[in-house]
Amino acid sequence: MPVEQRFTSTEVESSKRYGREFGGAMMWYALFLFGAAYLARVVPLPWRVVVAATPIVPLWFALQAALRFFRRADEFARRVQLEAVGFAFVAGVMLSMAYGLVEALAELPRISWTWVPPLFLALYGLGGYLAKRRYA
Amino acid sequence: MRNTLKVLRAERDWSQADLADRLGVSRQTVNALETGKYDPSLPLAFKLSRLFARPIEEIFQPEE
Repeated sequence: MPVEQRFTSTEVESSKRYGREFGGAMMWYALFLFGAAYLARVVPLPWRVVVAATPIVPLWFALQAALRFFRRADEFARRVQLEAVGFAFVAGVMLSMAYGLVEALAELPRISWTWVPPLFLALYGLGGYLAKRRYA
Repeated sequence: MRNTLKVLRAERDWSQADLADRLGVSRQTVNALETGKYDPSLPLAFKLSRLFARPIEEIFQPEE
């Protein structure tokens, strides 16, 4: 089915806008990340902390882009997104807490906390797939 | 809720995408409404009522 039949013009425009806003913010994030990684080696403490935290700035704009996309979505799309986010939040908390407990009690290998955000994103994707399948 | 959206749409020879465009929602939303898997909000129900020139209770009926 052609794209223009699967998606309405409002959806296509909204997705394009989201792509521009989110993609732009992530491009700045990558630049900030590399810049911070370089500068953190040459800047002394306590400024190193400030430099290391600067990638949060473009992430804030990425968050704003995601929220604007969510608000532009129609009521059914918001329901699906809510179920996806709800699933990711509950399952993510349960899995990370459960592994944390097992890790401490059964002396399993320590996994860095930086794996938690990718876990949440993967669960958000799975939650979206499950919610869409439920209403298809 | 049961509804007559599919019939009303077919009478006008509209695709789901046509109806979605007229309502300002996605095609997936129209599909979920038609299959009764999603009940619309009051504003969307009134939009449908105006679009098809029928009272809301004629388009949507509660399951017995």
